[in-house]
Amino acid sequence: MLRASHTAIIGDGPAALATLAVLRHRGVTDEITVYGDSPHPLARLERYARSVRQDTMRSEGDGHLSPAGFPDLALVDTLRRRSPLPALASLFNLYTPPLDLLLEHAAQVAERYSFARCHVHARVGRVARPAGDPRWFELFDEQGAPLGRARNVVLALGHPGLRWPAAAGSWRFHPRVSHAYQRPTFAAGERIAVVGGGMGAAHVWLAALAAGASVVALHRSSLKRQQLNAPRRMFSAVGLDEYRRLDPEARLSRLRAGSGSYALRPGWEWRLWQARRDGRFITRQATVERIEEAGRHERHGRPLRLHLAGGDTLAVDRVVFATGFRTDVREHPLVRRLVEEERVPCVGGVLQVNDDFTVPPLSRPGSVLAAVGVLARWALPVADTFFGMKYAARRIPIDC
Amino acid sequence: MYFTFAGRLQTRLLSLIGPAAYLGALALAARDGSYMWMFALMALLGLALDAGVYGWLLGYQPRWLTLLLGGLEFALLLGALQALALPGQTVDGWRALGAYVPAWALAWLTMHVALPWAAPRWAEDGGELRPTGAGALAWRGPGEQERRRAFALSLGTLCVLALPWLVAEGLRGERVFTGLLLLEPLHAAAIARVTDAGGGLSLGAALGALARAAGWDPLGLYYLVWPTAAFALLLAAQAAMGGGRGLLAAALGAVAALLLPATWLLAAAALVWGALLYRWSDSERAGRTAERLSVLGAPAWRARLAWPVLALALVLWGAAWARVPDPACYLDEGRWRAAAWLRRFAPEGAVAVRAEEPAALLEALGGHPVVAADEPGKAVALRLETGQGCATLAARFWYDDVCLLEQ
Repeated sequence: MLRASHTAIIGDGPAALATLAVLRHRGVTDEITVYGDSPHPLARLERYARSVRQDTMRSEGDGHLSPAGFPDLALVDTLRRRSPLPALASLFNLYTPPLDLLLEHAAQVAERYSFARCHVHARVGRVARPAGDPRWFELFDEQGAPLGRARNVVLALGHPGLRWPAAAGSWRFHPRVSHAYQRPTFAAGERIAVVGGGMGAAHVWLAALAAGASVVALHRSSLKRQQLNAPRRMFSAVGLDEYRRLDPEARLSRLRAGSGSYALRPGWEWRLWQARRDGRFITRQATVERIEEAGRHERHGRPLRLHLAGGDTLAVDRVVFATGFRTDVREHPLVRRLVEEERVPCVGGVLQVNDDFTVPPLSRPGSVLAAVGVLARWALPVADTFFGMKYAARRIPIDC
Repeated sequence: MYFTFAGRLQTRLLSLIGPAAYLGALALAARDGSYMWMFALMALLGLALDAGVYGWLLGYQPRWLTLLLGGLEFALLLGALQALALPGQTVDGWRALGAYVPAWALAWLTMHVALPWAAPRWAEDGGELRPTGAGALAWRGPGEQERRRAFALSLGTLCVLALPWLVAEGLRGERVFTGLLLLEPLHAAAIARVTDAGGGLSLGAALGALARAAGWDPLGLYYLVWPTAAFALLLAAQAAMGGGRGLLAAALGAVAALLLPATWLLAAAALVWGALLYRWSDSERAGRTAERLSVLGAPAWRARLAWPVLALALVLWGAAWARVPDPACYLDEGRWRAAAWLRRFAPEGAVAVRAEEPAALLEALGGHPVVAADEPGKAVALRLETGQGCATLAARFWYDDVCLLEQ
């Protein structure tokens, strides 16, 4: 007997949890099924955060997974620690929730909305409407075996994987080359090249400096400090209304223009300033074109040599690519099939969902295919944040 | 939080529910209408600052700034309470602070607790309560700049159209503070008639009955409701621009119009708003402001209707101006202050003042009963003097070259 659901959520990360919580909060009492690998929605996020030694979130107190905006995490933290400091810090936008608190909070949300009970360990490989019946979607696994059917389907798939620049090539398997989210290690006296200028890169800089290494930060565009991972106005109707008035070309260029940034935190700036003063932290605006092992006569020096655009070379002990995640959603096999077989519009690797987060050709009144999280960036540039996940889930036209 | 322009106003209105309930309860318990005045001032200052200052100057508003703005608004409220000769107003200083702080705290809790908890989309929508459900799918309101221009236009239209109505009886001299506006005596008398026990079946009479039951000044309640309704009309006009809410705008506009003695003028104002704002309601072409401002672009019968309506409103507007015999009298501060002083210190049944000059002021005072303030048991008739004599005599009231002396 195939599982029949009111809504099927495909994905097992924070977007899936946020969608489940919001739909329940909206009043969906019928069966919701979450298809994915893990019943722990923040497991991957935790692994990545621990890899870069991140102990606080970038978001502020209200960036959490509860469907309601109150109480925020600053207040929860205030009550838990019996200290007014989190609430005071929140007053001045200086509060960033500890990772452990967020994980605990996510676990509570997951328990409250029975995430584990809704979870089905399966990877959906194909979604299609049965011939002649516009009220349902059928879901199949990657081998084509039917998994179930649902009136509504929400794609809550995360990023397709880690992004490696072309220069990394097969070097990504070298023991001295790693991605920031693969828990790189550092030793005192080493010289580390960190490629990237975003939040992951900033955490790696600080972790390497704390270990006694020196850092060369290589960034493609100018380093940008920004409290949140997008301008504040993009987290409100003020910016979003403007964005939604853009024509498709302008939208795409706006999405592509968003470069990495790291949070402006006084403690970080102080540590980076000290390291810079001591000659242990250097920033260079350059791209890596090629990596090679140092020659035999250089073996007593640094074992890797980076060839930078413009002809410069850089000798280092390790290379860390803090280049974030891949963004071409067609790298998800399920999405690629939707694009190729169902003609779901996709431009530049971005799924062209409607502003109500439905996927155009497959949605019907009363039975929609929708996207949240990374897949919904066309409708909402900050869709891959906790704010964006809840924003999208609140607006999907699903009957309660 | 990043407020949209409309979101700021809607949030202010919502956050005033708590203070209204609290100050209303306080006014009932103390049988003192001063707290209603205080609420009126609090609401009007807040809305005026939102519409006139914050909405234009502030982008992102952090929580600490909200606290700072609360302090600023209290300072302005206190200043307004002292500067305006409000009828029956007794709250000032520490009493005002004692009433304001809980009221403001309720407004703050509405914004930071009640709304985020009860309406999670509120913050995401920039403080607006946008339609949900099926209506949300089609909802695409006007852009932020369009909203601001529309609001400025609405407010400007309100001011321009209401002004001649206000000054029409300017020669009478006495003005009554009504929150947004200063009313002339004839209009105040008309409102008093509407709100008294013999007002018949009208909204004004209902308000009067409510006020009498609560032990408040009927005029005070009326003055509170009118500007609130006027702002509601403005906001509804905005909402109508988003489409699908024309009925609400019309309903709220009718309420405001029914509350006014000069209903025809406000009705004309409402029609002008509708005509001017019409183009916003269905314009899909972004960036063409001139086209939106023009009613010429409206299609078919609505365009044909818009011009006569606008012309009629302008004729009415001109006619209202024509009723003002001497607009300069509206600026005679001395007369107004004399009248306000008399109102404040003249209990019912006192001996009427009689004097000879100047005729205009006497007419304004209209046989108003007057006694000396420090001797309530003893009726004292007062005499009006003008000119240099005032400086040398012990006057009960003195302003520029006008003074009142004991006879």
